[in-house]
Amino acid sequence: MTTSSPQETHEAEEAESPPAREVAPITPDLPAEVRGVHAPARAEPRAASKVVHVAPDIVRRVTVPDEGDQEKRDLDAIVHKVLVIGLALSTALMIAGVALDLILGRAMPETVAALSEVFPRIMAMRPSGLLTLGLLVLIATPILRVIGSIAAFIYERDWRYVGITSLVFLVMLVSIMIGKG
Amino acid sequence: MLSVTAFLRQLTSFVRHQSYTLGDYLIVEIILFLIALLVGGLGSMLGIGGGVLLIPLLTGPLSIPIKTAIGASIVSVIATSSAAGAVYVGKGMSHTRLSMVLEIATTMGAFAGGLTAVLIDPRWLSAIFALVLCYVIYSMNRMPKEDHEVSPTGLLDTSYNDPLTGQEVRYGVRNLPAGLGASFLAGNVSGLLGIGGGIIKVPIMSLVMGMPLRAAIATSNFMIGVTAATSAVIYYQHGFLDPRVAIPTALGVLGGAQIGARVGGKIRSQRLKQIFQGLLIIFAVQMIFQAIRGA
Repeated sequence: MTTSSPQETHEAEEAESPPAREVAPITPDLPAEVRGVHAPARAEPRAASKVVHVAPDIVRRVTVPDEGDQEKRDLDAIVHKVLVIGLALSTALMIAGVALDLILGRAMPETVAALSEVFPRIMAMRPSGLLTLGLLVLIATPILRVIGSIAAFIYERDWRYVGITSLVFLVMLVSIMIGKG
Repeated sequence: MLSVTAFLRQLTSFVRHQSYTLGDYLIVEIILFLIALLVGGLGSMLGIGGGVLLIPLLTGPLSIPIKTAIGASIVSVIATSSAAGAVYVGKGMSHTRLSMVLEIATTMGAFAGGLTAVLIDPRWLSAIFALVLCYVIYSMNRMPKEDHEVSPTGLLDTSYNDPLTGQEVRYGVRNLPAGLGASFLAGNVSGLLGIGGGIIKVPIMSLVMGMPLRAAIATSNFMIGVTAATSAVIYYQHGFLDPRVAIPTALGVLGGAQIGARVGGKIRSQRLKQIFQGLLIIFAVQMIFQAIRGA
């Protein structure tokens, strides 16, 4: 059986992502040599014509990225979305806080508001509430990114990475709790 | 030069609880923003949070207390990492799974470092900072050449498209325990000094773990946000975050990082490295002076 280069790519990818999965569906009744063959021209004339007849897009089917790559993209897409939204929101809050400060014609506050003070201050239209929330959203963005990754790994049923990412989250939680001390 | 420094010191007097006018205050905010814009751009191009440049600039010419500078720096380090990370992840250059594994070590290091930073005398922080700068200058000379051989190893194999050649680069990871060790140290220094710690991880990830330099930079940069957030929550609860310094710095760095991450993939690292090293030598001397003087 001829092993073409895209198939090697599949095997390497499978090794990286533990759960076994099927490669793109290939019509099962094809002869063995055709299933493994990358370019149909190499097979016997009879088999080659059968390929064209049964699965005209076999080359594309074999060469499409496998699910390992697909999962990498899904995970990246979630991470990307969290980072972009977090950044946009925190920037907007900080700019709003600075703008409000300038409108009121005074300097920014010296210290950040305590967690319980943030929302009352925003309700009272105080710049320090907006500025603190902007900073907190910025700090929270990587934490949310970790939570998003845990969710993505659960969805993929990649339990090893659910564990690894949860451990990272746990360390961050401990830091939030003990950091008060 | 000296008069400029004196002028800046006069302007930033408000951070040290002295009187100031609203005009002075606005000028300082704009200066902080511009410095941060520059640092953010340079930092994201090198895969370094920019803190190694930012803290000496804030504590030296602007005379801002080091703990306030660390607080502002950690916030902008998160901003840089998130902004550049979003771009790199979009390009598929960050090794997301590997970053999760190494983040276990970096967050633990950052937690320990953050707690230490809260307790320690500021002069010690300046001294340790000078030491880290010396290591950074030394370690940049050991940085690998652009195109060293990489290959799949069967451990965490992945691939990305090189922005210079457009070719797909496939690689795997070696010596994971060494990577974990370096990551813990990087996280520790990051939590202690408010820098990203990329400069400690990247050489190990590239030389010892056998990653391509660009992938190592992208992955390290991506991890830095999670690391920095771990110590930032400690700083927040201990009042290291001064909005007057942290806000313009964070906004400037965000702007700079947006620009830097977009041009960064295309600029040759050699020239950047030399500029960076020159600056660091000056800063190392400055931080030693600050440790002795107690500024």
